[in-house]
Amino acid sequence: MDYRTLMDIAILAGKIMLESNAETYRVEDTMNHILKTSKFETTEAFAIATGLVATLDDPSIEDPITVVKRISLRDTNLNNIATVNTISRQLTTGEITIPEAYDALQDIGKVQYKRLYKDFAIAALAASFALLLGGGLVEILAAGINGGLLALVLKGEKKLDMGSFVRNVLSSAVISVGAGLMQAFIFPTLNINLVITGTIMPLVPGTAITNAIRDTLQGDYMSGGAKALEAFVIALSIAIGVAIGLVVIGGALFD
Amino acid sequence: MISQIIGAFLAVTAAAVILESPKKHIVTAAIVGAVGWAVYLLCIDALGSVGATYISGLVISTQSHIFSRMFKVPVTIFFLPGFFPLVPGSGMYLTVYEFIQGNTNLAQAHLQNTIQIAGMIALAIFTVDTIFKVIKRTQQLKNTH
Repeated sequence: MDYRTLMDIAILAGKIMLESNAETYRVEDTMNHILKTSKFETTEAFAIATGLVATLDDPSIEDPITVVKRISLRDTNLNNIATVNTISRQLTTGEITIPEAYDALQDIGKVQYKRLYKDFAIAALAASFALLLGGGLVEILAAGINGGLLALVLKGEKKLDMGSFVRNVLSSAVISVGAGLMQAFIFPTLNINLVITGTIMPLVPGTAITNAIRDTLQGDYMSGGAKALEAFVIALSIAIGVAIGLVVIGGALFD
Repeated sequence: MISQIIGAFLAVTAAAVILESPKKHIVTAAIVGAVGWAVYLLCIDALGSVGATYISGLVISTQSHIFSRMFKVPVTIFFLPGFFPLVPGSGMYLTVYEFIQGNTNLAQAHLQNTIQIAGMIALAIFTVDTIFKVIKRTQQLKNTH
């Protein structure tokens, strides 16, 4: 039994899942399942939103091993969560060996969709939300253009890396101004409320809200609280950005 | 209404791409979201936005749990994109908008509505998670006896 590699597998699996924004109980569950395949006396896994710890101990080994891993980056990636889940399932049922599982986990991490597709998806999300909320053709078109603008702002901000709060304030201010400008110069009949609502949807903390609820209800109050706070801060930053944008277009165009 | 449901389908598809959903499950997630939004639209006249969010949330969570068991993948894969149409983005926006316009009362009403909707999403997730947990437990108990 190569328990050191097994530990590496558990830590790597936990790291990938936490970075992909999986629910905390799922991360601990997966790590525990992996560690339990060793049949050791003590197997512990502990995860919170910002880090994880795992321990293995047994009379058969000289020293217990404990590994701590700090998680600083978090970006939702559902594909990684699903892949790690499958690998851990196959490992615990014995379909694949420990080295195979380790190799498979190390192959994870590539993104599936090209940057361009994702930018296009942001524009498409804005346009579809205008449709979903009952907008007409003009609103859909305007929200699509505005969504493209949002993708550009996010792209530019990525190079400067000012943190998520500034990013959300800046991008929601830009899209509010963008919607106002389109109403003033291109589509006079435009319902800008619908367009702005549609375009902020890629930014709103839907993922954080859902994750916060599920973590809290599982009893993971640390992660649940952290994610609820994250959702609140994101909502606040968007509100500030929209407010700035509305004040700017209100002052420039409607006086 | 049909066009709004198509909008929901496309919105969830786009959300799934942004969230890096596995390619083969994108269409399923989009169906989960579109059905949920259809239920929301059907209920909104009778129940208002808060009640409709709860019913629609129940439908989305139930579908997510069923599909997650069918395809043997984590339930989040359908949850996160599926709930996108329900997230109170417009409530958030209207709160700020009315506040800027100086209509403090309307702003407060929208804020309350936004918080209620978020709470209803939570309640719907909680309800269905609990039901499926109980089902799983009873199956486990049956197997051990």
